[in-house]
Amino acid sequence: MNLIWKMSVLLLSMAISVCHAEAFPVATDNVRAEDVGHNDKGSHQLLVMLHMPLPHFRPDSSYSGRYSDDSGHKARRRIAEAIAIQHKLTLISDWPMPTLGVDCYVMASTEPVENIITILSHDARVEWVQDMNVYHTLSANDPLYSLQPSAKLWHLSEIHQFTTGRNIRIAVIDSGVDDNHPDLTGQVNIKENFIDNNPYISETHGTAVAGIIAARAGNGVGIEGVASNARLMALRACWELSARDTQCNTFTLGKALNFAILHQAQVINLSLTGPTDKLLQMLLDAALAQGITVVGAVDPLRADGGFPATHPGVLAISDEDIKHLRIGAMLAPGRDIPTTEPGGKWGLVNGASFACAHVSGLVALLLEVNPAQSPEKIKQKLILIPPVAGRTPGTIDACASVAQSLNSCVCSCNGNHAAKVIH
Amino acid sequence: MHSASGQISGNATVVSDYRYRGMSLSQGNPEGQLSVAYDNSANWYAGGLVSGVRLDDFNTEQFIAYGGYTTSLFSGLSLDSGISNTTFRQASDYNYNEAYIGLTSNSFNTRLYYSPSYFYQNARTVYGELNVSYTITDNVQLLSHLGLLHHLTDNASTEVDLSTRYDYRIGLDARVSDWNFQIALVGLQKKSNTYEQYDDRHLHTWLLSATYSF
Repeated sequence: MNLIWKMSVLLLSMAISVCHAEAFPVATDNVRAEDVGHNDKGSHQLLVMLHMPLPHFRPDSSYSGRYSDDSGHKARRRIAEAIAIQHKLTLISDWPMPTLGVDCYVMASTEPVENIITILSHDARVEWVQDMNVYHTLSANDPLYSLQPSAKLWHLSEIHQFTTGRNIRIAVIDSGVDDNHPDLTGQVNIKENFIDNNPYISETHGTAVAGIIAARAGNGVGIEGVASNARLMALRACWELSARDTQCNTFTLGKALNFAILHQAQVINLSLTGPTDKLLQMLLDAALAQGITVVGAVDPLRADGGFPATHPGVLAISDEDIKHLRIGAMLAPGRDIPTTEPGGKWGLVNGASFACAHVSGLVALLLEVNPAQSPEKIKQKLILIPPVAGRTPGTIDACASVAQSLNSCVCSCNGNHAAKVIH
Repeated sequence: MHSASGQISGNATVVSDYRYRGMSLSQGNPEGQLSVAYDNSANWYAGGLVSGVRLDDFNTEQFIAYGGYTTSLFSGLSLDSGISNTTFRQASDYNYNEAYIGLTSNSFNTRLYYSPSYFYQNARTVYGELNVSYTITDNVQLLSHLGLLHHLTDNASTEVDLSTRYDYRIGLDARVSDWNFQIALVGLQKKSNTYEQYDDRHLHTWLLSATYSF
């Protein structure tokens, strides 16, 4: 009896395994990352979120019981396939998001998806369904100002006597970072790629942002990052379409944000912009609730500053665009910034992306002084320069911000340091 | 939000030795198991498992039915509580119920169980366990388990050792598509006058298992 029982279980397992081969086409192998996500009205991709149960007791002798160990993944896969068949969709990819308790399925349609989204919103099996949105980084092209190294503007060498953002975990959600660059070796603790069918490569925007934040100090070459002892998570969720255009989408950004939250990032840098998006809004709220400071770059072309920069709780940073001060943006260096380029080179960059990077570094400096600060507290600690002639209002005064956190003088301490202005 | 809906999942497992809290319920022999679980979007769950066992000198089956509720405490930590009923066909003396409560996070879970009448001794017991996992690669994990069984009562049969007893498990789990393969070292603290149905000669053993998820 016992032998028959054991053989039956084994044969049943093998039979189910063979019979349950993919009956429905899944296009994971021949979809390029650049095809994923179209932002126009004819958008043909959607994200379907299925409820992911919290982990719980299971009596199986092989059960390991991890938070992300999930024997229900197969069950959700069946539901996703049934939905896809019912609505003539193709399953592209999926990614569990334990931070939100959902499993995110990317599906594609040959028709515009507005109708399907409306129908699926009423499907009891679905937590929510949304568009796939597309995002772009914010680097400008024309240097209009004479060279002003950020080190001089922010008195980095003086600040670094007191804090260097030591061991603060900063997630750079961007294109690929060249962590073999002489100014970045040893600065990247975690390197992950969230773009399907598009292996990790070093790209311009991500490398530039990483260099501004955490380029090595005192190594005899190149630049000094704002938080030169921070630890970077290089999370590649964006890809370079051309020298001037780097793109990301809801799915890749969502995966990267989920990862950053699970791996306890303390700062998240988002030098990119695009439409408001439910999945990303929920992930940003989860990150902020966990005490992670999120820094976003303001879109100069949008009066409202764009998303995610102006999501409540996110620090909205611009490079010189004073018209966004009224929406609560702050300014940081973003013109003629020397930084790292892939291939061991350096170059100058411009744009709100790089102002954002400066502030992520500054937040790390403040967190080294006082690690347990909430995002709201961090925002209060960012001091703006006093309104004096010749200085752009709304500009962050890094020296004063660090000095107030330390409760001592940091820059130019033998005389004329900036008066403190409480933001 | 929509009305509550559920998901049904299951596992089919073959183990080289059915070890339960360190003790072999198959006398060192391979067994097959089937389990099914139902998860509701309102965070209730229920499930059942059937496994072959070998008790004393005969083969029979063990059935476990369970149900509970989970709740998220804050990001990354959840609470889980429920009850389970374990029965043995042709060996109803060994049947018992348990209530449990536990905490689960990203890389560990801990749980406490209470039984008013554990196995056949009419003994009230508590069992505590801590499971810690470490991710080596995307598909390979190091798993570890430590458990402690403690008897709360002393009015059971004097033929068995009623003191506290620990068990452990350490192993590697590899996921390949819908399959999980494990190799583990399992062990039990040596005690005199142990339960007759558990073979005391094999306190520590290596075991293999293969699980198909559906």
